[in-house]
Amino acid sequence: MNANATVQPVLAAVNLTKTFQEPRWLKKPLAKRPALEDVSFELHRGDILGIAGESGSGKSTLARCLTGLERPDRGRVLLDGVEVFALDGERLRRQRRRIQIVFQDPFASLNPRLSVRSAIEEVLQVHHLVDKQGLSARTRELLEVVGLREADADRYPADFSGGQRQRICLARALAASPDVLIADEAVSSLDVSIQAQVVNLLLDLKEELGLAIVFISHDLHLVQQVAPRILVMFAGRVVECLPSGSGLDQARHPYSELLLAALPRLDEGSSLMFPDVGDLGGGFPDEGCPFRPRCVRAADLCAILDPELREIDSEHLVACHRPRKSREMGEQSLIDQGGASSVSHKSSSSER
Amino acid sequence: MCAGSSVEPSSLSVSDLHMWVGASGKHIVRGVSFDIPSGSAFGLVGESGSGKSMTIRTLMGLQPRGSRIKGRATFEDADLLNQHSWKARRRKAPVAMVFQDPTSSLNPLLTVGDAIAQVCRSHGDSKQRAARTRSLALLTRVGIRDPEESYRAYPHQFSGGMRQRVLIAMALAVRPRLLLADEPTTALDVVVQAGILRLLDGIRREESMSLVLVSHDFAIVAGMCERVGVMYAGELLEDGPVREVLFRPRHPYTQALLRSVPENNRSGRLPSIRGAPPDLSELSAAGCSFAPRCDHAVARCHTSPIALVRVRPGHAARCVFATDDSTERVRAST
Repeated sequence: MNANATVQPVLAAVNLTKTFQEPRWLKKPLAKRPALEDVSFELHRGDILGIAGESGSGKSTLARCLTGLERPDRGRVLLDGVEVFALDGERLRRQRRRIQIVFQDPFASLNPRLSVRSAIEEVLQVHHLVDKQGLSARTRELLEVVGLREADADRYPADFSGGQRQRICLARALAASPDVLIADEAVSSLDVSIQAQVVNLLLDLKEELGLAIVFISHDLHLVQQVAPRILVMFAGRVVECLPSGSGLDQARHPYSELLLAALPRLDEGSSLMFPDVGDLGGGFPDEGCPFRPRCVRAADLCAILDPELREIDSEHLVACHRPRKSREMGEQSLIDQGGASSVSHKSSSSER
Repeated sequence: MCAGSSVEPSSLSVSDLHMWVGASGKHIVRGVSFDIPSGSAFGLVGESGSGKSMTIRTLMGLQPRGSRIKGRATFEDADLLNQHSWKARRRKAPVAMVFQDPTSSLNPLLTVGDAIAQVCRSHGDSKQRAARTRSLALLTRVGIRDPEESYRAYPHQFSGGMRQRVLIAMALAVRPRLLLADEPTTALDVVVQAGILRLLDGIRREESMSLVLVSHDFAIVAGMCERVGVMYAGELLEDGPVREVLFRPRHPYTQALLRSVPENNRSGRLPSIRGAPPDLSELSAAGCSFAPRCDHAVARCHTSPIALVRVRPGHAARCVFATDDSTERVRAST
């Protein structure tokens, strides 16, 4: 990433903020917090950015803003330095082609009445990417890229399993020859063996096409597997940005720790217990840190002052007044609380 | 953990359970057998379409209409497959089930309190007031704050995790001795999932219920169950004590599946299993159902039926190499 510092990022988000307007007939206001608040990042060609967080943390709102499915209230989305939302008409359409998205549910994101061929050719035609003669050749090529057979082109989505449908969605996204691919929980609904196939496919595409990928998932282990850099989101904002290379044990924000502790894991020797994850109801406080009600390290300061994202280590940013000190210092970890037996962070991935 | 389970009388006993569905008679449960002692938890893992949900739905009597069943399943001497004595069954073997999707499992027109009270009334608390009192107690039991207010709330006012807690309360209203849970947390995110699993585990231990937990997630089963069965194409390919199966797996399918789980502190490509699970209507009767995707398959894997081989006490695998250490050596080298 340092080497790329002077190169223009292919995708940049600058202070993206989105608040959903509540309908006027609703007497009780839903939330005062924006669904997305001041989210910024840069993504280079051939790089993968991982985004993790629980439902409602703003991951999907971010994905929708990046793709232009939702218009942010504030902030900018830059594609190769060009601000997407400042464009309109034909120029907007040309820019939009360059950023494509694959959604979580492959059963809902394909038109059941379009054959695979029509679904892919539609994209090629809309964006005037190939002429009529080239259509079937390009379709065949795309199917091959995602590991489907040519014979599959004339079948319908109903003939395919979840993993295969996700490949079709991927082929359709790639048909637009994008520079950036957003995978919004794209493998979450798949079985592990199929999930592994699709994840590997994404990694291959990154290598071969120099695709930049935003990989969104609630599974921190999976995000780490795929992405060298992880943004952890909570309540619409980035609470931690950490390089995944040094291991998730380096996570310092109490929410990242909680996410990690909540993941069931396979470690021999540790008798697995599910941690007490704290109070989940009740929404966010209006002032101070949004994570405060669930945080075991919350102090008076946290109730008054909203922590800002600051760098605590190289490439490692945390929005917390009291981030956990390094694991070596032996500070009591979050998961020791609540009576749950601590699952050792140090034990590696056992014998597999 | 399960030491001595062989001498204890098993409370749930399933033997050679088969099920065929549809007009074509698709064979989707193919001879599943397992026993679990009273008060213990058994996990069924497998990928979608492996028949794990159908197996426990059959135990609950919720198999699809027009299906054909063969085999035996008893719980504390009550026959679970006998369709004609629902009342007797309810009395003799209270079994309850928790489903995957808490949204579609609740009636949107009933308040959650009424939904639970309805179950209470059909299971003993015939008086309205008694049913209400018990429903409130159950709401408290499953960790819902402010039960009085929640009693009057409708399912849409609840989050996914809260709805799943309501479903658990409804299941507990039956005073079950056996709880069947079909992917109870798959629709929830990890943080909420941890809470629900903690609740289920606590309830099971306190009430010494038996639990059959269906999941596609090995780690969940590892944390919740004493024994685990790995299902593939309607068959149990491996079963045994959870630690044995997960950390010393003997079936190539279990091994491959475990390798493809993303883990802490790893990055890059994930080992995947080539191909896709078989279409059950096309599966040939002879040979191992996993053979077409198996890296170790030899000629006899495709031709002759594979028996469940005991590899250690209480641990069995349906593989010709189950007692052969070479598969383990191959695994270590990959």
